[in-house]
This record gives sequence, C-alpha cells and structure tokens, in this order.
Amino acid sequence: MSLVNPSLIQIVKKQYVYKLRAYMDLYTRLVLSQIVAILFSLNGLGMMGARGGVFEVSVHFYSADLVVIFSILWAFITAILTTTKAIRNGDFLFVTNRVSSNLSNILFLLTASFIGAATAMMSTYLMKVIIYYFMDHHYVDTQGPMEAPLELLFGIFTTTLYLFLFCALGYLIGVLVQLYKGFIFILPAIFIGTIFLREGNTGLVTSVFKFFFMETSLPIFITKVVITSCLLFICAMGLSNRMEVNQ
Amino acid sequence: MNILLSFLPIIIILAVVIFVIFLTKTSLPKSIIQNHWVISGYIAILFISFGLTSFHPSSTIGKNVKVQDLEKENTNLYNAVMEGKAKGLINQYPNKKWSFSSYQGTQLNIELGKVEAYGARVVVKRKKINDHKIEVINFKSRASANGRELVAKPLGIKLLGNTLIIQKPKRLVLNYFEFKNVFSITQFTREQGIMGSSDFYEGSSLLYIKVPANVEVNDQSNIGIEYSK
Repeated sequence: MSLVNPSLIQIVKKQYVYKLRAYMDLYTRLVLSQIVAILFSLNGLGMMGARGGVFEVSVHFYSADLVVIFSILWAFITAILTTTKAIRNGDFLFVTNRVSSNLSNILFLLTASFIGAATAMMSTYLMKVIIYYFMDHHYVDTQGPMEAPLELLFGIFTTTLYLFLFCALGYLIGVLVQLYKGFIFILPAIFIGTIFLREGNTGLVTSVFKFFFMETSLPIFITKVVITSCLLFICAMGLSNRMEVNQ
Repeated sequence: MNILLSFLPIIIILAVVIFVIFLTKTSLPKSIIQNHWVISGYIAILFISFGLTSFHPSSTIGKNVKVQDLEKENTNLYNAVMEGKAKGLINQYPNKKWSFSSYQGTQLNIELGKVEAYGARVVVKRKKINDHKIEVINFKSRASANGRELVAKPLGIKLLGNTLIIQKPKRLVLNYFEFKNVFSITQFTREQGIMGSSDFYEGSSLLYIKVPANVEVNDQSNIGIEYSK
C-alpha cells in the first residue's frame, strides 16, 4: 500500500503528458490526411467562367476547406480511438479512475484539436506556395499573411472549436460503442437514415448543420460549441462510469 | 508594432509546438521518434511555406475594384468626354492613341470592320481649326471578375482613304487561381467562400475622335456616333 496520496490534478497531468507522448502516431495520421486533402484541393474546389465581348475569364477557386473537413474527420476518429480498450488500458499504468482518465483524454483532445486546426490553417500557405511556384497561371490571393495576421489566429481559433466539437461527439460515440457493441451498426444506421429521411430544411441533420455552420455571430457560436461539447463530454463521462473496471 | 502583430500567430503556434516537444522530449521508443520526424518535417514545411508566401505578391493580375466604382468611373469618363474634357483624362484611364496627319479629305466615313456591332461608344469632336489631323483615343474597356480589375486590349483602328475602320479588340483570355478563406472564417466575416456567388462586369470601351473643323463625319455602320462640345 502506497503512502503517497496524489491529487487529481497531478494524476491528470501525468496521464495527459503520457498521452501526448504515446499517441504520436495519431498526429502522423493527421499529417497524412492533410496531405491527401491538399492533393485533392490542388485540383480546385470551384470554378467560375465568364465570356463577354472582349473578355474570356476562367477563375479556379482554392481554399483549405477540404483540409479542415479532413481534419474534422481525423479529430472525430481520434476521439473514438481514445475510448478503445487498447488505449484505455494505458491509463492503468498510473493510479487512475474514470474521472482522471476522462479529463486527461479531454485535455489531450483539446491539444489535438488545436494542432489539427493550426496545421489545417497553415496548409493554406503550402497550397499557395505549390500553386505559385509550380503551376503556370496567374494568381490572386485575397489577403496575404502579413496583411491579416489576426485572420490566421481567428481561423485557428474557430477551427479548433469545430475540431473539439467533433472530438466531443466522437468521444460520446466511442463510449457508447464500448458499452454496447451493437452501436457500431445502430449509430451509422440512424445517421444515414436521418439523411435519407428528407424533411427539407427541417431535417435533423440539416438543423444541426445550420445550428453550427450557419451561425454568423462568434460569441453565440462559441457558446453553442462550448455548451454542446460540455454536454457531450458529461454524457460520455457519466456513461463511462457505468463501465466495469476492465471493460 | 505591426511587424510584431504579423508574427503573432507564428509565435503562438511555435510556443505550442515547443511546449508539446518539451513535454514529450524524454527518451522515446524508435517508432515514436519516427512519428516525431514526420510531424516535425510537416510543421517545418508549413512554416517555410508561410515565410515564402510573405514574399509573394498578393496578386499577379489587376487590382481590387468594386463594380459600382467601375460603373461610376465609366459614367464620369463619358460625361467628361461629352463635355470636351478628354485631355485631362488621358493619365487617369487606360488608353491608346492614334494620330493620322495630312488628312486632306472633307468627308470621314466611320465603319465597323468585319465584326458584328460591338459595344464601343464613339464620340466625335470637331476641332476649331483645320489642322488636317485626325486624332483617335481609345479609352479601354475596364471589366471586373470577382472584384479583380481587367483591362481589355485596345480596339484596332485603321484609316483607309477617307474611311476610319474600327476593329474589335482581340479577346483577352485569362485563366487564374483565386484563393478563398476557409469556411470557418467566412462564416463570421460574411465574405464569399467557395460556395459563394461570383460576379463579372464588362464595361464598355470609349472611342474619342477629333476631326479637323472642315471634316464631315458619316456613320456608315449605324454605330450611333455622338458629338461632344
């Protein structure tokens, strides 16, 4: 029996540092997914053509939208993976309980969200460099990095929120699947079923999409993401407390 | 202050990267070290790209314009030319000049050559003196594609005998890339993202012809020639 009585904060910190060190391969997957997204994006995400009496203009639009979407998917899958038995067993290297394990996971996912968002936003510059140096076309950049440094910070911040939101969703789904394996089939079926149940603009998926992606006020968006993420994590923590020690 | 502000995002990202490296720096298994290299290499490439982008011009074509401004400028140009003040506009609007001296005729036919009607306005000014010189200024058409200014190639002008032939300019074909901000920014700034609408405005060209006092102008192609003061 140990006489040391570590605080929750110390345990969470140790587990968090351990997770940052041990799960480096998750970041390698992020890099790979972003490289794939950049390659897809180099084909252009949209195009506009116009022809007048003396002009013929073709504009190919580029953006890091696809890189952000791939990063969101990566965050979602990473959150699910952190709930798997293989990874959860790592927590038993330390004095632990469900609360410290969940809190260190949340901190790890928050860090992962920031790194995913920062690299996704920075990937825009990689795309610009590839297009500027390797593609023989005129080039228009609506704003350069030196003109809008706050825009980059702003993009990293909002993208981090998106990634963290999907981490929370993935985490809850991961816990649900750990509780009952049948959810592996039930949850995708519900999701796909909801998409196919076309209810116009009032469908569940459409409403959820609009709730976050169409929000134009930043403070309201932050509130929505923070509250939703907290609710999802609280649900996940509540459900994980119902698991057996070695489940 | 501005320079510091410009590097603020990079400083913050670097601080986080150093923080994560600091936390994970102790002896690591070989597989994790390999992952470290992949991630560090990628982040290094991103930083180098950021640095290189800072030295790029933000655009290799045209300047930013608003369609409303272009329309207003076109109207101002037309009004000024109609009032006989074209001389003062030469440095303000893109143009091309021609001068045909020793013109001895008293009649000048103006016609469109080999092309269907082209939307160029033709304004004629009769000079007060008979200097035997026909001067032509083409104020080029200014267009806008997605807020980017495009300037047309000049009209072709030929004087054959007593006929001034106006030829349509060669079509300007432009193919370019445009970068848009990601949706997680445009959502709040309300600027047009990838899915946003595009706009194209094609202005009209203006041809200003100064003829000697004794020359009569004949509109051979029903262009709708106007006369300035």
